[in-house]
Order: sequence, then structure tokens, then C-alpha cells
Amino acid sequence: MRRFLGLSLLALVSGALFLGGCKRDSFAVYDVPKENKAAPPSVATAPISAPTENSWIQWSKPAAWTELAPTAFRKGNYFVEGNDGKKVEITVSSFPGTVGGTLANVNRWRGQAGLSSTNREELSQGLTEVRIDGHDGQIVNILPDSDDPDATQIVAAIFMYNGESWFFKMSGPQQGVRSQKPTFDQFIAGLKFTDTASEHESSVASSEASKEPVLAFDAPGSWVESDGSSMRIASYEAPLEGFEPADFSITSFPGDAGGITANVNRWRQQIGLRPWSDSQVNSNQEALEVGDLDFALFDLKPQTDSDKELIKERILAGIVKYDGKSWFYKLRGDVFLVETQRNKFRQLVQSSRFEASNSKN
Amino acid sequence: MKPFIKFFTSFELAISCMVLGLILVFIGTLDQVNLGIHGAVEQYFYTFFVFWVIPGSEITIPYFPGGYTIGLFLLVNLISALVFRFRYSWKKSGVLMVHIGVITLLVGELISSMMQTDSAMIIDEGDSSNFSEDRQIMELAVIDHSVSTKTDRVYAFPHEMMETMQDCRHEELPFKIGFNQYMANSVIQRRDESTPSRAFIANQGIGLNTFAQEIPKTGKMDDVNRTSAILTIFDDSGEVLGTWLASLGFPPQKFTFQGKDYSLEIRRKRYYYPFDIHLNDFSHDRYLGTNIPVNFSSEIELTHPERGEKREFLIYMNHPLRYNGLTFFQSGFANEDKTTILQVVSNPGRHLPYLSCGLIFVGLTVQFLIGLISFAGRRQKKS
Repeated sequence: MRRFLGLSLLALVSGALFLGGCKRDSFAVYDVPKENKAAPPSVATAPISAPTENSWIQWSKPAAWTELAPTAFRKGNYFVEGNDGKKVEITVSSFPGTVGGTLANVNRWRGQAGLSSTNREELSQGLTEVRIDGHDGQIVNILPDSDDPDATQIVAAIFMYNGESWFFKMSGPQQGVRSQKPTFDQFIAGLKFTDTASEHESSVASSEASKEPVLAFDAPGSWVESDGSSMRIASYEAPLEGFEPADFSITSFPGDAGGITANVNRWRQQIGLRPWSDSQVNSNQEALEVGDLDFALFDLKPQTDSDKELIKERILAGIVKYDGKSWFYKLRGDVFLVETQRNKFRQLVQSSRFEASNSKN
Repeated sequence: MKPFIKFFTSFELAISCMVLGLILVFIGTLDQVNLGIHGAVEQYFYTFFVFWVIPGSEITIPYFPGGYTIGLFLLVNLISALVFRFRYSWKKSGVLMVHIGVITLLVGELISSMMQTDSAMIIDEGDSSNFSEDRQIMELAVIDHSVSTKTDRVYAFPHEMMETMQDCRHEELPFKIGFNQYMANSVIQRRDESTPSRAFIANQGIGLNTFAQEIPKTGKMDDVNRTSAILTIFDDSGEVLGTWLASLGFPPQKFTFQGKDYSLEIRRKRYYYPFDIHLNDFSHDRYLGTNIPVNFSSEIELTHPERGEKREFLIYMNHPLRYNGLTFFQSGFANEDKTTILQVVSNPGRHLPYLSCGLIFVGLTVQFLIGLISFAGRRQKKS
């Protein structure tokens, strides 16, 4: 009796604890019907809207296209339905700088279309040079490698204008894209570059933009320019045989972009290191004067034995404030590889200067 | 072993636990004025220790056993007493039942504290819903809008991952989310010259124009903890895609990565159900000629496609709908009486207090009758 009762009660309590333990939340993945209710406009999308007077390039929407709300990255967002009811999407986006270059962008689109990457020679054969409203651009037509009418085709026009890369892109099933190609060509032909009236009558914004200083630096000869995200001003790979190349990038953001501690800790988080306190950040900071630029340099690497066991990456970083912006230099890669590139990183930082022209590197 | 058993089977321990429990209930109830119901429950009852924070510092010192500690000691004491000390005989069957009843009560409360969920289902008249939102717990939802033309895929990361600032990743997502800052409660302000520099780390979305200022968490019924987080999205190579400020009440913030449209938001944790509830009509009845409410009621239609069920119910005050292990109470209304708010409670241990009270009642009755019969027998013998 005693043993039976003891076991029963033990089972009762264990069951309760087990059930309680089961409640521990974990992530959930599920599909839900798309919400039909229009989402309230977010503050994020407010500053980026359809073409306005301030846009560098303006365009007119063809009547057949349906306009969608612009997103954080899309200045123009349209779709059109083909005869078979399948949607073709047309987007307009712009990013500062070259955004990794034409080859990188074309390969990104080829990836979206399920195609393998192309090389520079093949690309140059597939590009069509165009001149619209007095400005040169390129059109690329990415054809699928099958006759399947649903296979993805992408047609895109690329313009470099006022320091920004502009992408006008149409993508969707090849049948629909083919039928919309004449409309898309007319759309591109109708683009207006807003400061073309006269060089003397260029807009205030444009003249201010031309005064904006441009960062210049000397990249080490052994580094190779690489594809980068749209947020990068410069992107390089530092190769070393037997290692995955280290990744170098320069980015800039307005203001102090959260301050030194927050950014250093974001990088530490990237490679799995524990965050530093303000005092640790200060004590690990190396000040470097380059002309009138005051760089703060950091070497973020595993230091304890346990970290060295787990973390095999290292980041060399430099932060400088100039012209109301924070500029971030970052070299990330294998601990040993980064060690071999330390002097080159430093030389690159020391070669940094801001110039009034658009020349870089 | 013997001193150990002696300690856990002692009356002194049982009495101490009860006295400490009384004191805990007393101070917890008083502090409810400051902390609110949820705050008091968390700080005094659903905890192993009650902590005191040294003013002006973040150092906490435990100064009193919490509800879990007292409950567990009492539970162990009761079980140990039954296993090691109790003398089993028919004459003590009532006492045995009372002991088991109290144990059931404690276990029931343990299950409730760990497993009960309390959420709200908000439905407009003529509309349907198949989910409710937790009143206290938040989640970080990353929504993939590119799955199909009809559905979105939701990746819901629990609030614990935000609180402990763990990286959120899923094998289907081509990126991971890391947290730069977590705020259990906050107020949102527009960026201006007084904005702390830390807020400027957000370089995407709503955080470009606003920032979150952390404020103490509230446990009061009518107040909402506006959970906020600054989070950074990294792609597979560790490249930063951007840093966002997410906060309860913000609309989903959209971004595109690798040609797919995503959005992210901090929202109340959602519980989805395999059935739909359609609100046919909401009534807010008042006493004639006054604005004093006499009744709130929701006329609903419940559809469970898998079971082929389609039934109508009327939910009104003190007459909840019990379905599928859930209880739907009429909780509130909004939108000029066009929207109903149903409180949805799920508590797997909800039957145990009834069982416990029944056992204690029967046990006391049996023990009383045994005593009465015994007394009557002795009296008869004497006479």
C-alpha cells in the first residue's frame, strides 16, 4: 500500500513537471492565408515613394501595369498579368555606388532565374548599350535555358546616374515577359533624367550632390574587387592559398550610426564573440590619425582558450567620422589569414582621403 | 538518510510552509497595488525566491521563499509523510483523502502555472478568426510573403529568444537575426536632437525615424508592455543586411532578400486553431433609459472543417463556450459595439482544483463520520 501510494504520487508529480517542461516555447513555423487588409503605411516606406520631383530619374507607368505600394528597396513596384493569368513583376530600385558592378548584379538575377553565373566575356555579348534622354545605360535580357513558358525570364535596364545605380527590372514567366517586352522598351525609352535641361541649370540637389566628398583609398594590389551588397561602398577579397578569402568592405551611415560600442559589438556578435562594455571598447581602441581623419581601429579576435577553440574568425575594423557620416572599414576572415593582411589593411586605412571628384581607388 | 526523511516528514515543516505561504499571500496581495496582478504573480508566486533590488544598483538579493519553493517543500512534505510516516488504517482513510486532495491542489496549481495560456480573440461583426493573441507573451515573427499567392509562411521565434538575445535562425531562412538590444517595455519616440546615440544603430525601416526608450516592465492589467528590440539581420556569410527597430504595435516592416519579400514584426504570441469562429452579432444591452450595461453577448458560429462541425453558440457573461480544451469568455468589446473581444483560456490543469476540493470534502466528511461512529459506539458501550 505504502509503496503503491508513493509511486502513484511520484508519478503524479513527475507527470505535472513533465507537462510543465513540455510547455517550453520553441519557434513555430506555419502557413497562414495572406492578409487582405491593407497594412497601414509604415514610416519606413514613407520617405521612399513613387517618382517625385526629387527623384533623379522619373518615369511614366504604362496603362496596363498595376501599381503596388513601394517598399523599402523599391522606388517603383508594378505587376501585369499575362493572358494565362500569371504575373510579370516590374520594379525600379536604386542604390548608392556600383552595387558590386554589372556582372555581380546580372549573376544575382541569373541566380533568381535558376541559371548559372556568367562571366565577363559572355556578359558583354549579352548587353545592349542604350542612350536614353542623353544618358548611357545597358539592357540585359536573361533568357531561360528551357522552352517551358513558365521558366523565368528577366529583362533589366541599368543606369549609373548621380553616383547611384538604377535598376529597372521586369521578371516573370517568359511567355508573359516576352509579351510585355515592347511595353517595357517604351517605358525605358520614356525615362527622364531630371537634371538634363542644362548643366548651368542643374538642380540644387544635384549641385549639392556634386560637392559631396567621395572617399578614395589605395587598395592592396593582391586584393580582388568582389561582389558586395548594395550597402557597400567598396568590396574586396583578400586571398591566401588554402584559405577562404577574407572579406573587406567599406560602408557608411549618417550620424554616428549607433556609436562605436554598438557597432563594435555588432561585429563581435558576427563572429560569435561576447560583447564588450564601453570601457572595454575604449581600452581596446587604437587611435590612428590619417591627415585630418581620426580613425578608431579595432582588432576583434578570440582571446581566451575556449574562444580560440570555437571561433576561427577575426575582424579588423576601422571607424572614422567625416562629413556627418560614420565610415566603417572591415576585414573579416580566418584568424591566420587576417593576421597576414594586417599591414595591408593598415596601409589601406592610411591611404584614405576624401576628394571632391568622383574618382575612387 | 534518516535525518533527511525526518526533516521532510515533520509537522514543523508543514506548519512552516503554511505560515510562510500565509505571509507570502499577504505581502504579495499588498504589493499588487504597485505591481499589478501579473507583476505580483510573477514576483511572489511563480518564482522560487522573492528578490529585493538594492536601490541604485542592479544587484538582487533573495529575501523570502517564493511560491514555487513553499509549494514544492509542502508537496514533498505531504508525499513523504504519506510514504514514510502515515499509519494506514480504515480509521484514517479520511485524513488520507484530505492529504491526497491537498497534493492534487498543489500539483494542479503547478500545472496551471506552467501551462495555462490566456489570450484574446478579437473579431469584427461579420468577420471570422482562427487565432488568438496572448495577453502577456510576445514573439518575433518573420513572414515570408513569397511562398505562394494565397499563403504566407510565418517563422515565429519565442520571446525567450529575444529576452536572452539568442540568435534566431531557421534552416529554411537564408539569414539569421541577432539582437543588439532588448527592451521588455518601452516608449517610442520620434528621433530628434535628444535621441541617444545608441538608437542610431538602426539603419532600416521605422527605426530611421523613431527610437525606443526603455521603461520598467508593468504587470498591471490595463497596461501593456511595449516590447521592443533592435535587431540585425545577417546573411549566411555573416554580411549585415541591415539593423531594424521592431516594437509591439509597429506594422510589419518589409524587406527583400534574394528576390523574396519578407516582413518582420514583434507581436503578441499567436495561437492558431483548427477551427474558425465567425461573429454573427455582438450585443451590448443596457438597462432601459440608462447607459449601465446589463449584458454583453456574442452570437458566434463555430466551423471545424476536419470534424465537419458547424455550430452556433451564444457567449455571454458567466456563460463561456468550452470547446476543444479551450474556454471562451466574453471579455470586452470595441469599435462602437461592432467588435467583440473573447478571452481564450487554455488550462490543462483546470479540472484538478475541482477534484481536489471534492477529495478534501469527502475526506473530511468520512473522517468526521468515522469519528462520530466511533464516538457513538464508545458511548453506547459506556451506557
